[in-house]
Amino acid sequence: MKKVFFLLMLACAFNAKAQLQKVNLQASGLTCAMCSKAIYKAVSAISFVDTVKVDIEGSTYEIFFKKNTMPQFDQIAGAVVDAGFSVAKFTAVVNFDKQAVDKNGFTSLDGINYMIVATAPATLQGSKKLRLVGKQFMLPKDFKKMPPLKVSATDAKAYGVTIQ
Amino acid sequence: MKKQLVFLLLLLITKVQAQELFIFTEPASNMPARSLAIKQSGKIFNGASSSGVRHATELMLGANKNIMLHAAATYGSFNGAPFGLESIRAYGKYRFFSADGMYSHFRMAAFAELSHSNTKPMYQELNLQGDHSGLQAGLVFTQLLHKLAISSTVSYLTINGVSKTHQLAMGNRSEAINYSLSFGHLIAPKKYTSYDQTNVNIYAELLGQTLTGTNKRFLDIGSGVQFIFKSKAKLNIAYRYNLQSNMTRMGPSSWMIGGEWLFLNAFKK
Repeated sequence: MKKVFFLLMLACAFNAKAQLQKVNLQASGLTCAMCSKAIYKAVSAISFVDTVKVDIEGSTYEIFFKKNTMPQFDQIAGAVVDAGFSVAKFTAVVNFDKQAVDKNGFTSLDGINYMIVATAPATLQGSKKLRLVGKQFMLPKDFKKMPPLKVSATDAKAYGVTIQ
Repeated sequence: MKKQLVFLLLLLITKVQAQELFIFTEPASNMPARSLAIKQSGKIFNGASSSGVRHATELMLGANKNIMLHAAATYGSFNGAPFGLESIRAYGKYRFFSADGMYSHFRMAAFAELSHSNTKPMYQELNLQGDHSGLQAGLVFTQLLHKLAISSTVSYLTINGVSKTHQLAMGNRSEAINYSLSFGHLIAPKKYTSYDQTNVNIYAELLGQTLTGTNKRFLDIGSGVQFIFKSKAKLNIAYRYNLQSNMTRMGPSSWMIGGEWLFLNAFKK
């Protein structure tokens, strides 16, 4: 009985870690398969990345993470840049459970801080697509269109995001 | 000539994916950081005054996202001379500008190369691909726009040492301006589904040289086909043909066949 309880606890702990479900990344500046493979290999080599599914034609990468790791979004974008290209779109798919958001749009989950751009809801519930806002996470033309944050995301050590 | 122009025009209007893994020139883009490639190529020259074969082995390294380094050696035999090492060469390229869009980019890079050669060519054309010792530096501009890639290189070349003494003794020049304009496109596969698909690219590259302070120049067209296997190995087959020239050269045409193997993540971060 004790064992079963322990296993249940363990399962709960792993579930808690699975709140960041995946990252969908679209890369820019390339057309060829060899270039796409360079990005695929660079992202796959990151220590916290488990698997990467690729759509070569759409230049999109679906990135899944290893359990009990803390993914760094900056490091993923950096790998794309090191491969010689840029990030056009970076979306984190996160599962929230009555997650409180403060008046500045700030919230934190599993050690990852998010700052919601524009009007933020008071709580977040269910699976949300959070698109990262920042020069390293989007095309320059998209970045120009973004509304300013209430409080600097950099000051809050958070990723600026919009809810998709 | 007419046929070649038609081919170039076709490249300009064809709405297919463009490629910039050029056979005769380097694009402004670099290899991925911490990757390594080895390139082996052989050229067969057949001219009125000379004929021969030249092999080149080149190691290429993506030092970081902006810097790429090459080290190369050429060896071969011309006009019945014994087969042996002809030259060694070092090349560095720095990508200093990059603007990426979806399926497009514009990049600029500066490069410099240094070569040491044992040969004493008897013609006016200058190059660091085995024939002369010297230095070359220049700029590369590469544009990928609406699935069309165009790349252009402009560089200054000066030879030195025995190469220079020898050229000047023959009444030739020791400095030149080189320029190129390259186009390339993918003809297969029509749709990407996997990294294991064999890619087929075709290229047309205009390659020219003017000896400084003279009206001596040449313009060649290099056209080739490139197969890429499993997104990591390339096979290049190309033919370089002279369109116009008023200087003495090794030969009006050459065939080139080469292979290249890319190792991604060859070095740990």
